[in-house]
Amino acid sequence: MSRSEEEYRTFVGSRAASLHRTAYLLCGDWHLADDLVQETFVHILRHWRRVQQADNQNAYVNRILINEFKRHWRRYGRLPVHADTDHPEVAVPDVSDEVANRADLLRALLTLPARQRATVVLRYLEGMSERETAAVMRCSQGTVKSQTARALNTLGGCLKPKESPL
Amino acid sequence: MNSPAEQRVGAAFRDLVADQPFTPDVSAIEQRARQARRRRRMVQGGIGAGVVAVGAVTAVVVASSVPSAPARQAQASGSHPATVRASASPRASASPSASAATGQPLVQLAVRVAAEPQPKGNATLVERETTLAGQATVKVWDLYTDDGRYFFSRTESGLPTQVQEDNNQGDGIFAREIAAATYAVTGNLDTAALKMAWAANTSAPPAWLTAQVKNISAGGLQIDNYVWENSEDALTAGAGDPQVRAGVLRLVSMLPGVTITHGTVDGQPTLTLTAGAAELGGPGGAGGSSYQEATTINAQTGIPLKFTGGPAGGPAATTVTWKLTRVNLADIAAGKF
Repeated sequence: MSRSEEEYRTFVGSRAASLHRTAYLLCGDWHLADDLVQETFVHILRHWRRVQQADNQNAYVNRILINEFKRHWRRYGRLPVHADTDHPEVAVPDVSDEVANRADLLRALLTLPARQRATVVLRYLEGMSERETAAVMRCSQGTVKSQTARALNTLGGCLKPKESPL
Repeated sequence: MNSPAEQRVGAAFRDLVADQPFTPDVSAIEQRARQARRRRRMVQGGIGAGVVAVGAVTAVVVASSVPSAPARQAQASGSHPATVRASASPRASASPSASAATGQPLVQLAVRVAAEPQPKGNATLVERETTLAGQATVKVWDLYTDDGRYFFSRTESGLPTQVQEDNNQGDGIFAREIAAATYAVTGNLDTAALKMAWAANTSAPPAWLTAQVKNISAGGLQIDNYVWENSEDALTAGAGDPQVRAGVLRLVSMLPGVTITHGTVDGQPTLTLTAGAAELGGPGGAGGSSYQEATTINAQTGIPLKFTGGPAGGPAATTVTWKLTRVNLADIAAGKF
């Protein structure tokens, strides 16, 4: 195995879980998330040298994932599954009491326009700054702000303040 | 600093995705990347296959389309195509015999090709023309050395520089594919198929792929795709070597999804090898269920003449034709060609 191959495999191992989580929140289906991440890694391998040389590797890789997601969206025009029918594992009471119902939140997330969804996933799951998110989304920071605000407004109904134990 | 609402969203997101295991299939990723690169190079300039003394391809007359002989026999008897072949010829014999290939077009052709004398030179220069539907034809030059190195130039005059600078773009893969094809001429076909299927890698083949070799006649397996893709590469890179062509023919004869169409091109008999769904990666594979590709070879020499790819049942989206000459690498480097 060449050094480049070793580096690539190390990269895959270090980024797979994170990309998989992001992909799931983008598409709402673990199986499709598998495929999206696989395709993302294929793309990364084809352009491995460019990825290695990227100034912001994290942003570059997330950009590839989002492009894969958008390509799927364009091709099929809808999300593959419904959160309330294909994900029994999320339709359980939330253990953290932060969310009224996981299924409700996921459903609300999936009803967001793709751009808003990607924005809030990058901001709050990936923990990206507005500047980084803007770089990935190829838009201005102002657009990130507005997209985030609209998304939070939609998602807010699914969130409730933390309850105090009596 | 995020607001409390933002913090709640972040926590909720993390909760939604917690504890979901995922292990990417690196082998599949690497194979898909190779497929994508191969198709891209086929279209844009990189890979080509060689044709010795073959003029422009003008037409292919379709006469019939049937499963390959080994596949037919395997389907009839329910046995492994290689087993059918083995019943007539020991798979590890020193050289394939003429009697072994009776009724098996690809194996029969492999016998004839393997008996050809080794051509002069140590490399094959390919003038490759690619036509995309509705677009202009592009001509590029590929240079394959017999030891698996590969040089590319968009102009004929640019090749010497590529060789002088040792800008080998073969990545060692062509060398391994050529070795696998050469092994297939006289070696055990199951072993050869595994070598060819895993030629893109330097590691040992995984157990799941090794297990598929014995069931290759069943079709629909990943190994079908791996053998097809890499055999096509080997036929490309080793077109000037009759041993490589013979080995590829024997390997392709193992694939149950490949169909053979008899025809003629400019008066010379041809065989068109059309890949089945499994050979292209299956309905969910890289090509998708609507993609089709085929390679036309000279029915007497096994030399590849043309590649076509595009929608199944529709006109070719990509057509590639080749013209090949044997050369010495030193002459190319010196600009003497």
